[in-house]
Amino acid sequence: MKATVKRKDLRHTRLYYLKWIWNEYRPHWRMVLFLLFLTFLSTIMAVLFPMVLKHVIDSLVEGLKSYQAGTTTLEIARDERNRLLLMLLAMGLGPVFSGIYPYFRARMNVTFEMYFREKFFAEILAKGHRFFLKFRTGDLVTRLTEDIRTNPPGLSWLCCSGIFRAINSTSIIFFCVLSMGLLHWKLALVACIPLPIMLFIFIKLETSFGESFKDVQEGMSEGNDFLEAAYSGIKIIASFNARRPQLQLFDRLLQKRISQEVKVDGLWGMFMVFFEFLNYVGEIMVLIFGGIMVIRGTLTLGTYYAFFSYLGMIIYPLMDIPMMLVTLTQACVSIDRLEDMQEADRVWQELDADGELEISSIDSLCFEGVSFSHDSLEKLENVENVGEVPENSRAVPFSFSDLSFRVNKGEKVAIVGQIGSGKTTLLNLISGVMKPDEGSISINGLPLARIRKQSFRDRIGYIQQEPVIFSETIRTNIDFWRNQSDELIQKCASLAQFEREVLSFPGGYSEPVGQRGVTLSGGQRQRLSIARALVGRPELLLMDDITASLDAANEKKLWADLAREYGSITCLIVTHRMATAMMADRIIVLKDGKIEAIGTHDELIALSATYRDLAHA
Amino acid sequence: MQKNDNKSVLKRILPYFGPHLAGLAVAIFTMIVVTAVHLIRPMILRTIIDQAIPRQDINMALKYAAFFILCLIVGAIAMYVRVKIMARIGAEVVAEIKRRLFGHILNQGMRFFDQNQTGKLITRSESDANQLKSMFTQSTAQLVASSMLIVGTIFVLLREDFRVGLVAMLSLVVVGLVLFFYLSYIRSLYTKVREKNSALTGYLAEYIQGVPLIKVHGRENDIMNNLRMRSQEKADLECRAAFIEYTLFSSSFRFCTEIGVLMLLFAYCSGRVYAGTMSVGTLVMFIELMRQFFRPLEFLIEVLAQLQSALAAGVRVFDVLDTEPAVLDSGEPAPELRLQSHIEFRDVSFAYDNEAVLKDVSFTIPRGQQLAIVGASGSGKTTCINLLLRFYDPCSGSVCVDGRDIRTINLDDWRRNIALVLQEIYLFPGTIMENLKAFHDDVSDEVVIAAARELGAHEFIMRQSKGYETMLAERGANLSYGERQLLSYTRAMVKNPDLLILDEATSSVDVITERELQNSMEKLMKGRTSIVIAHRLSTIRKADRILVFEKGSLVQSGDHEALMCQQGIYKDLVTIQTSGKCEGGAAVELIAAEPAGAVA
Repeated sequence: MKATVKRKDLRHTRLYYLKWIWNEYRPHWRMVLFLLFLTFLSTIMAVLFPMVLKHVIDSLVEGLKSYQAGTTTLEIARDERNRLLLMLLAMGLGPVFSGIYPYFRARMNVTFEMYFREKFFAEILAKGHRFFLKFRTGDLVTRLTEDIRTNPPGLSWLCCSGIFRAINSTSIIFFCVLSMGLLHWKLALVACIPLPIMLFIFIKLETSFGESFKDVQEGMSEGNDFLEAAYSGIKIIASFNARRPQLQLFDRLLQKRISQEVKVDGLWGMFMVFFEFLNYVGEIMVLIFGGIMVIRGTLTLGTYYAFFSYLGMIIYPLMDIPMMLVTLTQACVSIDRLEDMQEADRVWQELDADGELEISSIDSLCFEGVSFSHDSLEKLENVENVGEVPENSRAVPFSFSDLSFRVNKGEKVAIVGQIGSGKTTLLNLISGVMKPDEGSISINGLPLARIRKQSFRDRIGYIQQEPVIFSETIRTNIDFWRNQSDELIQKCASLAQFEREVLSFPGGYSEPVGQRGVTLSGGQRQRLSIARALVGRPELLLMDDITASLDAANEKKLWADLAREYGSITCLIVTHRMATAMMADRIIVLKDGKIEAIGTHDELIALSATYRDLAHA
Repeated sequence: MQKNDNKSVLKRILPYFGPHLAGLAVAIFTMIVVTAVHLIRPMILRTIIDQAIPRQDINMALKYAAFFILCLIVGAIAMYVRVKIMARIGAEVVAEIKRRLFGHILNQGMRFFDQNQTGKLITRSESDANQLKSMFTQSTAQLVASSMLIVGTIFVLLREDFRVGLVAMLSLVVVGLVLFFYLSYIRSLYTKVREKNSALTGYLAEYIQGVPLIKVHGRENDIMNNLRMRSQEKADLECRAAFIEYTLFSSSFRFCTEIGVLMLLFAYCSGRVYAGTMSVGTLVMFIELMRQFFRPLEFLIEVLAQLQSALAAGVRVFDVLDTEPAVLDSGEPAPELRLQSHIEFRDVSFAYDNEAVLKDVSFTIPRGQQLAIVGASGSGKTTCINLLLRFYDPCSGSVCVDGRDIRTINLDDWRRNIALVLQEIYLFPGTIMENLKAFHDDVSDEVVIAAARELGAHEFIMRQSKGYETMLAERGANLSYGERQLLSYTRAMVKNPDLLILDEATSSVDVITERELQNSMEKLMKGRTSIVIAHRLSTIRKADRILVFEKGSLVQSGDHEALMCQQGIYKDLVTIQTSGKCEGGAAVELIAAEPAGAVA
């Protein structure tokens, strides 16, 4: 049960969303058709049942009369009874069928869920960096799971179960009313008077329930935040003697929750009451009027009873329909959210077309007059989880202007600068994950944008500051699905000074890490990440601040090993460790979005105030 | 510590209902009323069919119908009253449990928090407690209502026709057993589905976070294949569950309980109708009764399962409530306590889970001294701080203030004199002002603002949308690291303690920000007895005295110059990190960064 969404919260008309769903049906038309057929069958089965019961009871009454009047014998009566039993047996198809229909609905739900997930994940894969500034990981995961899930109801559920159940319910109600009308239209009229009222009440209740539930959800969220802060900051609370104030604050939260919860439960209670008892209102009408008619002889007993059956059958679909309406609105919100995701940063996707040129090696990297700016957020490197623009952020646009430099094959270039000076962005521009606003980046004299992506990316390695580890084995993490040999993997692991640690795990390279396995420390993750980059046999290595993983002595060893194994590898390494910078062939100093200076350590000490500052402080 | 089980949970929950007994009585009464209404309906139907209709007595039919309407109204009111009462009782009882749980957890020592992750504690405090609530507000009511209905129906059936009643009872047992086994099976299946779901969510999060990496290495296709594979696994499991639930179980169950029962009733009763020993109205009544017979049975079994998990949740909750804090607050109150002359560690030893962390450590800190503690990770520095703050107590030896063992002092009174600044910044939901006051109302705003000005925090605070009254969004996530660190210092400054304990941050802030923070830190430390777990050479150099720890022992002590003259670990630590070339090398990290919140 989700919180209610008001129509004005939606971006489009209902018709738009229905059309959207219709479009998604097209690739699955066979399944849709099959389900429509099943829905039709289900309605028929359901509606036939009271008819059969009516026939059974009427036959019994007639048979009894004849028997008592002496016009039939017990044998004939028994034969009649057996015939009726067979009819009842045939109605057994109903329950059997009622097991098959939901199964196929569930299958379709699940199929849609998979389909949506893959479709929208592919969209995400194609997006550029600006997209990930706008959308946090958690948010994206929510959109690909909670928004589209089948249980509790999300988009997939609606696309299938939701819509088909609504069709089923509507047709059941329609055919029940029709059947009742065919049996005895006057009584049917009387019996159906309460129906629209009931529907209206159910709809009202669903919406108010949803609104109150939203409050409860917010209360829960507030409570969770409060507890998380309190439990993780327990040392501060204890040392600042803040226990009592925290308890008081918590108490206040709890009181608020009590009134919210009672309200929600009260509404739920109303719902249950109506469900249990309103049902009977129609029955009362039938009881009174139908009873009179039976007495007067204008209605048979069987028909009398059939009316009860039909009324009993209508209550569930009647409840279903408001539920569908609410879920439909929920799903519309999800559709909006998914479209948001699709539409965001479309520009990037257009710019990101694959090139056609092939390269066979990376001999030089050249930046000419490159300018770049982030639209609103700065401090790209310092922010872990960038989401919506926080209220209080200083919206200082961050930009590069006019960067020009050249790196030749085999050079080791260090990149230094203050936090926020764009070091990571520079690496991202080189790798092609971000694109310059002006100027050009070229590889071997060819513009990077025109080089075929796979051709370039197969030759580079990127080591992030905060490496991503997947819940797979160590080997798969290092191999990264490139199907390389064990030999190469082990060699790279030992180059990254990771091998000894790997062998210390009980499973060795097959040890699972991540969610289901061992948690690696920060340093271990980075060393794995180094191994991963090396397995690709890169010609260009981009390293974003690997200082956490290796102390100065070990880093020296890494460089030595790299020089030995990957002799002509070109390295660009972002660092704030002076020892590293000093080992580089050249150092690029970034300040305020510009290259302040390029040179060797000694040259820069003399030339660059910024460098001196960084070196001495 | 006695272990709880489901039965004991029931016993322990009962007292919480004490204040609500009247409400409970009313609730139970209403349930009886509702059940009666459910049972009356088929009987009225029968009376009309058997008596009013043959007698062609319209007035009788109308009378009974009116009676039925009355019953409905009464039943509806009764049910609503019950729901409201149970909702309130349930909400209040659970709020009380949550209140006690929170208070109890806050009083626990650090050991408790080491053994129980935050996430787990939140689950206890929220979702487990809420499960208990659903037990009161829904499950129990459903249990009673369903049982009453079943018992009532059987009673009516037995009275009418003994054989039918017996068969009903038999079918009850058989169907009940079948339902029980089936439901436990399907529940375990759906648990697996839930697990697959959360696993998939985890994978998705990883893949999405890894998108830049995946793109750089050109592994998009492989990732799509992985996702497809995992999605398919989950989908297959869900389809299997749906098949078992709907196609296999639901159809056969409904066949038996609807069609099967109907056929049996009809076969048996029609004979008796012809024989004249049963009226048609009775047959109709039986059909109605049996049709509403199996649904409550289903509810009943479901509810039993819900009750089981609710009780299991209750066990977990009460287990937490039963834990005793490891650090006993048995000291005397000393509200006027100040640090007069010195703090002393006397032969302090501490072991954590049989691993010795501190071994016979002794040192004295005179009042006013600025002390720096250094050493590799795991050498015992953080433990000293934990012992000083009595987050743990030493295994042997004692920590003394002015010659007095701190264990003899009331915990709150002792901690009032110490301010703690940690590497990781902990801020709480509330305004900046409230956080700076550590939520103590008796601190004046002026004191806070003066402290903020002194440390350089005032400017950025006033830049926020509501200044000091700005609510911290997500515990300060929208402030930069430097700004949060300044708030942390200011909070300590506002407390104005005799003793300052500071665990210096090592995260890679840039050099300029670092310098600003250093200035503020020095202002905070001025004139106060300070103990700093130091990582920066500049901090260490300025300390009056340095304690060097290695593997749990205090190995060296003195100021920087003195220690540099000694051959020892200190000199090695300093030399390795600075460049071989010049004095005044870059601001170095003396030791590799420790994970924040390390035990030792």
